[in-house]
Amino acid sequence: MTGSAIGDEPAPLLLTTRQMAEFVARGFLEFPALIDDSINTQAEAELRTILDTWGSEDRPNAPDSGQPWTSLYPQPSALGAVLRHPTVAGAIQSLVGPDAVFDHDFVHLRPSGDLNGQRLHCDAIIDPNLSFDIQVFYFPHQVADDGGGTGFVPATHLRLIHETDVGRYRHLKGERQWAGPAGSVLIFHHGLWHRGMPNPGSRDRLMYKLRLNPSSPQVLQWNTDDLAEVSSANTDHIFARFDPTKIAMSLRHREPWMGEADFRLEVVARTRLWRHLTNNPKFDVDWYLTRLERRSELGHR
Amino acid sequence: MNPNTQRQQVLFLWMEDSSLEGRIVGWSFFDGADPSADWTEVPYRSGVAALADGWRLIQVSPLVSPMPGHEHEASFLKHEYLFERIVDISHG
Repeated sequence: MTGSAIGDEPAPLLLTTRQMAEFVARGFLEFPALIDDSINTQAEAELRTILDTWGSEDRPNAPDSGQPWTSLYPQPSALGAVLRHPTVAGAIQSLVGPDAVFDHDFVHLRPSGDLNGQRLHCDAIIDPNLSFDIQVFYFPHQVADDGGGTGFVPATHLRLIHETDVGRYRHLKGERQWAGPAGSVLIFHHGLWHRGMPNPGSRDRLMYKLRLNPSSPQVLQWNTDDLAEVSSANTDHIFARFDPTKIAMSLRHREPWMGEADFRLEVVARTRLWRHLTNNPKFDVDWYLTRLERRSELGHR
Repeated sequence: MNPNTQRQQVLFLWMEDSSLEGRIVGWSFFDGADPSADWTEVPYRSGVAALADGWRLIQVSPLVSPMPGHEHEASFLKHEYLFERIVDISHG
């Protein structure tokens, strides 16, 4: 299955089931050096124009919240070309559906020598929904190791916290700071803990962030050609019978900041999200939900 | 503590479980003698190792039962230990 073409753009390259499972388990996907330099150069100029005109009537192509994402930054915008790159458009369609809408965007500039970083946070407010937004991060130029790339903590996206309430955490084992080539794109689950980092490097760091909301259920929106092949049995249990080549093993991905108790709750949260995404209410990893559901029929406190 | 000559350093450690002997999974260091100080590498193997290095434990997160209906929800890191050390200003 492939996505439908948007206007005269090439068809979106939808995510695979394994990529979806990676996103559910870790809360992000990364696409290094995805965009050509010719587009990056133009897009960087557009981002600086947006910065210079922010909040004014002069801002070109200023979107409205709720606007269909496919109408953002129409041709000949280079920023629009980034968003409609088949890989970016395919990831968007896979994660938040073909009818996703614009929430907001922002251009983040971290000047060279700016040693003030943000504290760890997740965006917006505490969000108890199973459905999720995505945030697209686009880096038009190379970001060096000391260049102020976005910091984030893998697999924190399903924890219920509010904004900078996690600002006390300076370092968690396994934390990341993005560094990579020009034209790289990251896509985050809205709940992923992240922060803008200091930039002791020699180049101003420019980054574009776009938040998108789904408008319809996020069920089986990706390329499901491999779904039957990679799906694990509902009985896949690491302490019984399991298949290490199937999706359950992807959903068990453990981060260095997790203790055993944390890890088990994360597996349960991922299982619930995977049930929703695949419309399979019986799916389970390691029998955690099944045993409770079976026994609740026999009596609960 | 003599505020003319000394400052407080505080060290937050988050453990993988409720034991002070547990593995450290997160840490934050704040230094009254050097406000820009930061420890980017995990400073000790365990909370006990911090005690052995002279840190004084001053607060431990309580063990709280989850709210009914929210037994499987995760939010903040549960096992937080707060240490302090008093240093001479010249230390920083």
